[in-house]
Amino acid sequence: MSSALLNLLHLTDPTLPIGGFAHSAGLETYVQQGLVKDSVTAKLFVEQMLSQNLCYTDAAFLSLAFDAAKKNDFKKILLLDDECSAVKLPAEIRNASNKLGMRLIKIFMPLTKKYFLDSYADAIRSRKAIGHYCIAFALCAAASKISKKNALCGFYYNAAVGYVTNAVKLIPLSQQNGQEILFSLHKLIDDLAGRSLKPDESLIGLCCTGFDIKSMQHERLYSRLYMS
Amino acid sequence: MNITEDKRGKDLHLMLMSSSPGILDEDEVEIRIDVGENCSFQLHTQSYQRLFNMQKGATQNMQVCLQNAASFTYLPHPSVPHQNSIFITNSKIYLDTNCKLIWGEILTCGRKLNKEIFKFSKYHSTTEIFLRNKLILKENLLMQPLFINPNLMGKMEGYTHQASFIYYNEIMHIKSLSDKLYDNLLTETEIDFGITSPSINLLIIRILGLRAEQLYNCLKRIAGIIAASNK
Repeated sequence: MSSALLNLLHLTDPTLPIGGFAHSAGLETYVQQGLVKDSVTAKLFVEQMLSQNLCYTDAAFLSLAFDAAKKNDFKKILLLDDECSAVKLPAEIRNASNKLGMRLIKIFMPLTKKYFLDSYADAIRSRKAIGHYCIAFALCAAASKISKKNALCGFYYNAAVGYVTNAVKLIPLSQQNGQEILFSLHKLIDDLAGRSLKPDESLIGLCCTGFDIKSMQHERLYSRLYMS
Repeated sequence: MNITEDKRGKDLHLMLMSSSPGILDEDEVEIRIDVGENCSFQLHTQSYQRLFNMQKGATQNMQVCLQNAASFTYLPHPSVPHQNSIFITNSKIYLDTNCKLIWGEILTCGRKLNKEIFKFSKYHSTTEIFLRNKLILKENLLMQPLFINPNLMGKMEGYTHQASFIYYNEIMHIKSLSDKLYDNLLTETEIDFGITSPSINLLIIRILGLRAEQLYNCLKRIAGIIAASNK
């Protein structure tokens, strides 16, 4: 049985009940301001989010937390949790990462009794950590025999599906248009997963001023469908 | 140089004096500031920070340590990176208990009127704030216009200048200030901005714009509103 593959599919399932559907990561602001309005601009949004934002934040933390888990270095995981909080400055983005992470831990903790998922949950309860989705994802993946490259690939794919699904609903786009965007991202996702295997630590948390501003503006949108 | 006008005021104002026209190739600038217990200090810059044409690049390391109940404000003039300039700057700020911090940074696209728009090679600025040695904020700004198009979505969004403003105050819940600052910035034209409060003691503002003077004035005005609210 391909247990690693099944574990990966389970962990990256876009319908996993952790509330991912409730977060647009600023896309709702872009759509309301008319900046993302068709499949061309929606694709650009997703490409930029994956390659300029996630690559230097969540995917980099996933990669480093995965290594720390394999080395039984729980202290490093706590430092990564601090750093992840420190670079996520828009309040909604920080809260989203925390909420998704908590739900993921709750679902997977009974299934993975090693690689610190339970210690991470304890640290969050005792306020030694805030708790982030990307770090919880890394701990689940490391405990589930999933290779790091596949974990990263799945992580980027899951994020891309989330953005595309939201774009289809918000703009709106046809389902076919959405799927065409996803197909067109396969090579980028594979390349980024490769690049994230050894993240350059000096580039962690690179600022995307535009994305940050749109996420901050989301807090004050007149009407909102999404929590971020 | 001491430029404190109100000698009975609570803040010491010092201006960083420099005989150099700006940052030159292979410059290595080291700045260390210690603010003692209950002291309040505002550090000023003389003028815009020009980063000149370079081959190897220049660096700056700044360390700021605030003891208990100390306050520090630093809103330097905008940085103007000339063609081919390479600048790497790291700032580490260590806060003890009950400190206040106001910190800003403005980066321009270069000498816009000379048509030097995003012609610099590299600008990499990291700012880390530690509260009792725990990292609580990290800003990591890297611009390499030859490799990463700054005009794309999520980055500069077609603007040429960016400003970042950090306000930390451990003894006050500052979230309520954000509505006031938001309304104030709404009066500006030709900017895009966001305000957020990722924790009850921290307020972050990011602004994109087209003119350095405007962004500098915005940050000064925001600092003034904050100072008034602390009285």
